[in-house]
Amino acid sequence: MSELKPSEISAILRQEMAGFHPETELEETGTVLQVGDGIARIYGLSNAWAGEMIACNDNGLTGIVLNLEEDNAGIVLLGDCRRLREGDIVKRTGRIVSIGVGEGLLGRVVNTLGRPIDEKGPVEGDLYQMPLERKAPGVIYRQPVNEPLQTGIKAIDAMIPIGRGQRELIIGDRQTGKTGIAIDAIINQRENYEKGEPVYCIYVAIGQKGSTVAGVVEKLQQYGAMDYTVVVSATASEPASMQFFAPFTGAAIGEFFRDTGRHALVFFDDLTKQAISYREVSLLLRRPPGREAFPGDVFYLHSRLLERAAKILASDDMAARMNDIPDSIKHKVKGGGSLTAIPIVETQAGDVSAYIPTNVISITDGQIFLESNLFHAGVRPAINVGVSVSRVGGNAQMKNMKKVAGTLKIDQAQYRELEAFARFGSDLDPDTQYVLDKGVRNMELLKQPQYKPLPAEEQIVILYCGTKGLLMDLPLKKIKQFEQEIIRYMREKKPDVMDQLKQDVINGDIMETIESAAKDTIQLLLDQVQ
Amino acid sequence: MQQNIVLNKRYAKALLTLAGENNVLERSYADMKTIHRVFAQNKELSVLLKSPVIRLSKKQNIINRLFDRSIHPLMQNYVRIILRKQRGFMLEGIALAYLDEYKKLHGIEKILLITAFPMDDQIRQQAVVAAKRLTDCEVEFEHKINPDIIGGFILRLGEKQYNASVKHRLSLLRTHMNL
Repeated sequence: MSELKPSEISAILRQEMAGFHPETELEETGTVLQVGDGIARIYGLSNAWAGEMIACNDNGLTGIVLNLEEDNAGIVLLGDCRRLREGDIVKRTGRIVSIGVGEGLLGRVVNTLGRPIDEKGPVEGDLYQMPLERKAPGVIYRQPVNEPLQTGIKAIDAMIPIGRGQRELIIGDRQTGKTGIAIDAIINQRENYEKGEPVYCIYVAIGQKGSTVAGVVEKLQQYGAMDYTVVVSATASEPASMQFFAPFTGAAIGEFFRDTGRHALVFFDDLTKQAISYREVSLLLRRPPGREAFPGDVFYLHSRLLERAAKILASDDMAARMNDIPDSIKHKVKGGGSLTAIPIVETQAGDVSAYIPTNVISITDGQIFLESNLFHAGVRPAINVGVSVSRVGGNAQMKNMKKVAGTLKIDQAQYRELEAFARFGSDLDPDTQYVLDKGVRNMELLKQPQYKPLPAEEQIVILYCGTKGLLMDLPLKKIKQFEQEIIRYMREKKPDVMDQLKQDVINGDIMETIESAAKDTIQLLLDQVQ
Repeated sequence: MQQNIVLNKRYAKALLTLAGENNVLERSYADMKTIHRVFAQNKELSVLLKSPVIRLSKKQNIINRLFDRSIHPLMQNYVRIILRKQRGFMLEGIALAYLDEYKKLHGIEKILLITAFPMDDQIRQQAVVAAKRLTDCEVEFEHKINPDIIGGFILRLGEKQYNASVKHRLSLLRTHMNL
């Protein structure tokens, strides 16, 4: 170790202390009456606001005022409550809870307070203070959803399209691949990132195992998705308050990108656990319990969170006039940004009529419903197409995809209806047989392995063959191979057509090219069989 | 101690009105100070009054012997009623609430000064003068010594506090340097 001279040490200290002027101000204080289970009751603080941050001691333990009562204030502690004791003095900070957000967060794993927990040192670059609780943009600053957000999953992009600024729920039992869809959609944004039009992704893990979160981060790193992704983690071991505020942190990070004219995509995994943490805190604060012991404002908890997803008007002038823009980013505001929210909700034994699932279904603009029996039957992603909808995404779908896959959803519905009947009888007329054969092939086409999102043009080529019934001569087990072969064929021999498809073009020539490519590929595969 | 602030306040306000009607406000204030001091210095007393094992008559005897000579008859009756209603253990809280209510009524502010070392009389006098300048009201001055704050002082005035302690400044410095 090199030796340091005393003069150097004092020089370093002086440098570090530059700009430090401790000014003593008049502080407003309160006394801790009771503390435990992550909440504290404070006597005093009579001027505190609801939602204000409270400094509990000099070690950085903070709390948030949730209840203002006649003689005391109920606060939740964001940290270890054993560090606070009865009789301690706490101080008002005069600030609403906020976190520092900036480009430096990309590629990082942070906690609810925006502090990095990945051992990669402090967050670099400029940070802008964004409040956790913030009003959603008003009606006049919003634009209808009209730009597609490609998830790279055939079944979703074709039948349940998601647009930028939309709120689409992923709902299903445990172990049905909900998180898998989220990860695939994040990986699929790599293309946009490379093009220089990134869709920044935020993955909020609430109440999950630390190992699960680590697994997700590792997968994202493996597929190069962390370059444009922030992971907010509030694991099951963290206080309930940290868990129920975590989605608000995710929304605050997303809003930074949205308000600076960029696109962001946020996943809340999952809101059921968030509601449970909120219930815990509410019951401890003695708020009256309602249905399933959730407090009365659990609907508002989710609606105000998801309402922050929006597509902002393209005009910079209008965007600058938007309501409740934090002072820190006022000079950076640009129009045309969007925040897409994909909440995830876990059901118990497929019961979507429970309290939280019905609430979130009614708040969002559609849902992707995953079923465990489909999952076990090998249909992966296990999307039940019949009950999954996207109420606004249709306007945002790519035009060529709409043209190609427009009838897919109805076809599949018809197939499922006939399939049930066909189990009883053996004699089927040719029309019915055709619908059944086509349906089962489309089912096969819609299957997709995990971590393999497809670009839009490849999806269109594959789905075109399915919806046009070009695969009727092909044995079922050859379908997977067919997909790979036709994509390779098109990529090698018709790159110009693929480029056109990417540009959202479709015409007779393109369709003919795909048809002839399909014919060649099928012939090739059939020859292999013989 | 302050478990039931609303209830304590209610009892205190009732007594304040009663004392006002009987023109014994000053005396009651002094009596309540005595009661509060006795309870604060003897934690067992609250525990004893809370215990369901000990009979009410015994509790009453103890309280009578403690306070019979020292406090005004009105206050004696008041204490007796509270005991009879099984709320003797709340007496300390009620006394504290009463002192607060009395001060509020008479516009007296309580000022607490915390220092790391004992003060000499001259500095103390200066502190009292400075404290009086902070408020328009009459001031009740209290001084505590807490070596934990290392140096400087903390001045508490109701809910407000002026923290000029060395400990606080060091923690500000730590936040500034991101340690």
